[in-house]
Amino acid sequence: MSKQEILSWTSLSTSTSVLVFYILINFGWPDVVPDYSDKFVSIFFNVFWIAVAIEAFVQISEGKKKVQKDERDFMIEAKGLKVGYGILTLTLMAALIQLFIYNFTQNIAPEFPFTIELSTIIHVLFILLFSASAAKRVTMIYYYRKD
Amino acid sequence: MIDGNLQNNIRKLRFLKNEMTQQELADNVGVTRQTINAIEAAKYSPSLVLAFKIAAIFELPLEEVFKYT
Repeated sequence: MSKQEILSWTSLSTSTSVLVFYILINFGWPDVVPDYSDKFVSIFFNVFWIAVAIEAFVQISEGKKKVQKDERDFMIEAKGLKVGYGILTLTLMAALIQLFIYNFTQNIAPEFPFTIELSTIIHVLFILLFSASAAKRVTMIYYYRKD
Repeated sequence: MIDGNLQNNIRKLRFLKNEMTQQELADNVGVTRQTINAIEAAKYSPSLVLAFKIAAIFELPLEEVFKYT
């Protein structure tokens, strides 16, 4: 496994962990499911720190190698960025449309049923930012594994 | 449009060149061992510059290392 592939895995782990923490802190555990939030937090807390430790170890141990990143790594990263950028663009467009609807309905029709609160839009944007990062890493891992 | 595959003789040429390892070849051309492995398995098509560098290591013309079929 190359250094860049390991870094993709660790980055995916940290993004996912942050995402889980953010969702649990802001939205809480769903009522319909038995409460396993403590176990969940504990698992992702460990995943986060293990990923950080692996990343630090890889940076130190592989730092002496002559080639850190080559043309194949750049090509795979470009594919990942393309997917991440696509998700972010769609999200941004959706958020802008929602903001427009929010302003419009606040002024003209406050009872409009499909209005999303401003705070929810911000939460969704934050969640999708990390989802885009995770999607980028998943794409990269897919191409590394494919080869 | 012609749709084909880039085949190569790198594995054989490495063997003939004192059983050169993938890591040695990778170090000589400035890529990672994983990239050499992907090229050998015809899963990744190298850039023209990298292809020329690999051919130069084996002191052969490009068409004797890579073949487009």
